[in-house]
Amino acid sequence: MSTIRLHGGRLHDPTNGVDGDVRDLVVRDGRIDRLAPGEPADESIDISGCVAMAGGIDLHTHIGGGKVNLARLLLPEHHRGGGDDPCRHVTPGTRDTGRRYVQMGYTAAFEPAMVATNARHAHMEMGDTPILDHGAYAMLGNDELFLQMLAEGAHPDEFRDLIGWTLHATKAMGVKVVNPGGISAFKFNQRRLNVDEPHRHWQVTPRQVVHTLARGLHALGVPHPLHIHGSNLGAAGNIASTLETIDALEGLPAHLTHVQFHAYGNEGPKKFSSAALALAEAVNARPQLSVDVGQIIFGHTVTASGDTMRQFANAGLANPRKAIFSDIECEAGCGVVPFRYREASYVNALQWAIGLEIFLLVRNPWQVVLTTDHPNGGPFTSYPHLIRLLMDRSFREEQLAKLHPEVAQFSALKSITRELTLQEIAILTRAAPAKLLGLRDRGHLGEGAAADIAVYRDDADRERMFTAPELVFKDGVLVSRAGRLTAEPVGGTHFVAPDYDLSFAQTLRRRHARHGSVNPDHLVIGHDELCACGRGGALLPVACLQGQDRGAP
Amino acid sequence: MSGHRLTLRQTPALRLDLRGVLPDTLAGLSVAEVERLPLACGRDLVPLAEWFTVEATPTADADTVAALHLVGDLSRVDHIGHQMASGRLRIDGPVGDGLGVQMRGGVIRLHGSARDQVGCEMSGGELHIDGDIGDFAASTLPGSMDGMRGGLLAVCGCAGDRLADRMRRGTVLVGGAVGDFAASRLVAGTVVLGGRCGVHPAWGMRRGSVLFADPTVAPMSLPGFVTGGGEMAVAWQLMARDLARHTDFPALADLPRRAVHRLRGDLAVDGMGELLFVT
Repeated sequence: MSTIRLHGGRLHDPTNGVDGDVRDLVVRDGRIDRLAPGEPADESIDISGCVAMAGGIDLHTHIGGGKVNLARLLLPEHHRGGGDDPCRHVTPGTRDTGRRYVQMGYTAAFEPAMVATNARHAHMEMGDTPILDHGAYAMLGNDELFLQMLAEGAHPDEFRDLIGWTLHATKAMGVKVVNPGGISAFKFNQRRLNVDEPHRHWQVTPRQVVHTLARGLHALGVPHPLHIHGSNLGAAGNIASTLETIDALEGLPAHLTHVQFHAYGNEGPKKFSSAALALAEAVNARPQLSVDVGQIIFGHTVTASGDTMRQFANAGLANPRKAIFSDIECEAGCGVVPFRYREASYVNALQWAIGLEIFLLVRNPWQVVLTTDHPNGGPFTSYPHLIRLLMDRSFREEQLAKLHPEVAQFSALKSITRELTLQEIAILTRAAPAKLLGLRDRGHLGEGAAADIAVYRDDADRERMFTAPELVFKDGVLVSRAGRLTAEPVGGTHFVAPDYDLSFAQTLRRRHARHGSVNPDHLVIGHDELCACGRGGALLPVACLQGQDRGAP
Repeated sequence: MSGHRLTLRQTPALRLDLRGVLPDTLAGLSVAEVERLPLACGRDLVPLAEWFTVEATPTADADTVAALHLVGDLSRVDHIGHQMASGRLRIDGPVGDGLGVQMRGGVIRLHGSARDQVGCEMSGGELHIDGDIGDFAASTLPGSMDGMRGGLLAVCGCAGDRLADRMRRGTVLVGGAVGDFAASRLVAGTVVLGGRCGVHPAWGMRRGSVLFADPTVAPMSLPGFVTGGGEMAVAWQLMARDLARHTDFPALADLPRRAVHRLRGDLAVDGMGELLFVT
């Protein structure tokens, strides 16, 4: 029963309404607690001049599963001759990934695209990532079984059970749909699929796919709503399909991911323009929606996505000119394309501006999460830079002035004066992701919460401030001091275990026997196995929502 | 300017990495300083003196070229001359992998044989080898898009597979036989083969020239290559006279008096390359 008291620091804990108040923070047995009157703390640390927040949570970062490994394999030259910094690679290995996140004050990260047949690998890879708690979203919506059931007009309960079984089998935190129906349509030679366009073979539309999945998750009470990577990623004018996808939800809650890549108009001389305002208005009008941005950061990176169709379309822009595409057991796909975002490029400069516009135009910070869609928009190591762009208008304009002249001159970003506060950054990077994932004891500093704490030395240069926090605690253990790791505990695995009709496993066996190539029973990861995959880290089941908590249908 | 002679005392049990031990890097250092240079040996760093005897060698010539002389059985020593930019490096004895990788200038003379990845991605300088070399010479390091980009690789002995894969510029001369896929995916540059070659030479070649200097090697039937393509007497004379300068390769001295038969391809890609067979 040892206690640590952090005193003198200003706390930013939006979940509990604490905004910069100087308060003591007491850690007891890995949890945040309080001292009884007159009780001395075993250890007292003076953090005056510092800002304390809960540990950061990245709810969309590609850190586990097949395609990150493919990205690493595709770019061996990034591993070469790097001197002291192993993170020159835009997709660092598991160990460096965990360490670098922790050095920035993050304590949890979620892999957004886990394929059911590949779930073991994803969990093992995340288990191999030290310190960070982790979890993943299972991909549905392009697998043959789901599309066949949809084409046959199966009952909504069957979809609920399919989703429930998938979450149970893969030990996922939620469900992600990637280019709804599009990855499958690509295999039938369709090169794009609009929201109301039928899949050539199954004759179902992305609208049906999105609605069916969102409804199924809502029925199960999974806290994280459907995680949507919409249709037509990166295509000019795709704001239309993004808004149609939002319509398809018919009021059901959902999380739209890397929306920067889905907020493009087709106006102006180059037929490529910002539609950030239209998107932000749609989000502002619907409190049940949330987004993460997928901000791009200039420089080299690699785009690794389940969206084979759109990645194939972008393959001509690969830099260096190489790419990988694959189908995964008729369940999903993947495309890995290295890329360089250039300031002098009109398109890239506009993408950069659109991302920042979305951050600043969405009024309620609880509806927007800070991501670069690592590594697709840029590596996660650029978060401190991104935070400074959001908090410091003059710095933002300095950067804007360096971009392609037409973007620098005409971008709406110039007229946006908003600067995010520390409290809002705390929402974007911890409190909101925790709430969106249903993590009740994470992302805040209230009594009983897990003692994941980041203590930053207050600094007018927010980039420097967020690069290397003074202290980082993970479950009450000091893991990093001024950017140097002090301990390397194993992280835990978050997952949901929703109630569904268990007899669905029979239906599934029958269908797989006839149409499938794998035995569905082999896909199921048990608790012991999950524990082994996570190198003995804690299993952290997340409770599902009941009744009214689910919100409006 | 003085130089150094490093003599390997015994063959290491693990691979020894000689990256960073270059003529111009060592030029300004005393013997004691050279002895303290860290070398990667297996997973550890050890001082250079652990393996090598170091001597200073005053050079007679008044020029300013730094010189380095390596002696011994260096077959477990890798990355000799890595990223070398200037100076003279002489090696007596066999060496391991990665000789002269990403070399930019200077001259390396190896009296012995080398293993894989000789002169990968080199962009300048000269690399002369008496003996045989392994696979992937003058080609790419894994993952890179471009192989050799300049300079000269001259090998009197034989070479392994994938010689000059993805090469873009420069000259490669091999006196002996070469393995499979010689000059595959060649983008540009000149490859001269003095002996026989394995299967699929110049597979996927886009531009550049591959010369089969041994008249006993008859033009073979290669898918993707066709006979013909214009008058080339002048171009051939220029090329032949240039190659005849290489006195290490007596067979090339005769080239200006020979004629060549020409195939063009690989038509599966751009088809702008040429195979030249001395008749």
